[in-house]
Amino acid sequence: MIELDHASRWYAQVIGLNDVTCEIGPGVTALLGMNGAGKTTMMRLITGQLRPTTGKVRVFGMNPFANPEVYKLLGYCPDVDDFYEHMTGREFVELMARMSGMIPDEASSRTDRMLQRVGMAERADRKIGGYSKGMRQRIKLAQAMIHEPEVVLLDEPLNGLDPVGRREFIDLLAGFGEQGKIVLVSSHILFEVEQMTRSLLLLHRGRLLAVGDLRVIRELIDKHPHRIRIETTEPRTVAEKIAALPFVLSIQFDPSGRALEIQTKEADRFYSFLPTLSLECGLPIEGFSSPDNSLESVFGYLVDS
Amino acid sequence: MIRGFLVSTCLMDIARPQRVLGWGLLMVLLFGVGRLYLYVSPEEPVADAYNQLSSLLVYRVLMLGAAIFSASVIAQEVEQKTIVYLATRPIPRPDLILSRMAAAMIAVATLSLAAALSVSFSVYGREGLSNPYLLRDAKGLVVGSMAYVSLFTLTSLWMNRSMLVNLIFAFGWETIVANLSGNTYRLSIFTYLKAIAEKPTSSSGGPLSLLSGDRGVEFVSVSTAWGTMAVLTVACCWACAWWFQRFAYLPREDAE
Repeated sequence: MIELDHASRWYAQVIGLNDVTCEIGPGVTALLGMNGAGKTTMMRLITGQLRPTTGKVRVFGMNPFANPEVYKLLGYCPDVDDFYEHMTGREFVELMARMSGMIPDEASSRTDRMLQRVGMAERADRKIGGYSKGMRQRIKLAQAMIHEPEVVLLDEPLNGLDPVGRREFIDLLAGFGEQGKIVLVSSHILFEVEQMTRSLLLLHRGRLLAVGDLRVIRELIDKHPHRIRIETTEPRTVAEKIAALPFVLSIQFDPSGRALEIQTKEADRFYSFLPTLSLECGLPIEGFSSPDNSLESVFGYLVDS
Repeated sequence: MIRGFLVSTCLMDIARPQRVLGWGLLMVLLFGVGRLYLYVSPEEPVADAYNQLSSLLVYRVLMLGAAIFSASVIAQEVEQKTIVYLATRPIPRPDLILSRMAAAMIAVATLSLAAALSVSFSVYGREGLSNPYLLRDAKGLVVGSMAYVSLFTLTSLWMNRSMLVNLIFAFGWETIVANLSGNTYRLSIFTYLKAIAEKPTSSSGGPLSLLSGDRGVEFVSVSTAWGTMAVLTVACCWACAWWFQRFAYLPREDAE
């Protein structure tokens, strides 16, 4: 169990984390927040790289700062993309295994298994300096998991992964969660987090804004008038058709003349109407998106509420 | 077991082929400078020539090596952001830093002994190994490696880009202070190393003796030198271990 009790961390006059109290148990938990929200600070406090300025951080009841007992139970995949570039992936993971206290034979066999598990077995003997971003992420995950820790912290692990890699990574994390391990994954992309877990911590400007089920956040999004942007070459004709719909609250034209933004309280009904608009009415709809699915909107709603 | 592994890993990193090649070229350069020195001052006795060159070059290599290798203990890991991997492994931080310091000390001692050998062979020719001052210098260089690495590692824990400060200390402070009158010379590590190596004062005078720190008229005794260096090294090692255990070391955000 990871516990933060009124934990704050200041960097001179700047606050990184502000009075955060929470508990993180087994399973996958997402740490969601925009860039600069305090995700990495929170990770660094839990991994004992930083001390809290005030409050307490405990991992299985122990103070994690520079505590080898905690590091036996903890694996950390940092956000930094830096390695010993002259080493091969295998050498690096094996080095980390040895530094975790394994004897050479054990380190070697575990390295083989872990490289296989993260899909790097065939490419592990190349220098890290020549790896793609995705390969580097996999090696980072391998080094974090090499000693089979009870707690795994991953700071923005999906950055740079292709869709297939993302899927594999998410499945891997789900597997760890099912094994009863505590997995904390940070991200600034709501869509990404929804694929990983329903349990989340929402950070905004260093404060813990919400804790719990992701569905609550989703309901909050749905409660507000939903904005939908439609890209079309004929915005006036599309607006004419849409204006007749009872669930559309407002329509705004984009200055570019190639898009319009509508507000609706029933997003699902509007989305189901869109194919009709395109196919039956023959209107040229080039694309649509919802700015309200962004994290900024979620934070806006939460702060308002 | 982990300490031995840490020392050997750090040594292997220091002794990567490209780096060894660079230091090898420096040894060749030292040999060439030694031959050139003999060529321009053929009347000077070889013992005096060796001692002059040793103070002038070998001890500078010692200081240069210490400044560079002490940066590899922690500062370089912070700069290249790999500190995060070291700092989150189940190794007590004092063990981590002291093991890496030990590796740096071994590397600096090896490098400076190689420099001494190079100069000795350039001055004495094939009789380089029978140079009576070589063993004395070896004592000074080994003690110097420990003293400089521990001091420079401590400064690297205190400040960013400490190598510049360490180089200024090595090539500025250590040259100037050793020549000053009064008791100021006692503030230079080089003074104590010369006492441990029982180095004779240069008879040549001139700017070279200034550079080799031979202008000071006062000397410390050998026992004082050993004691002072032992206290300095132990105090710096203890301070490094305490500091590294007490304070946070994170990847430097502005480092590229």
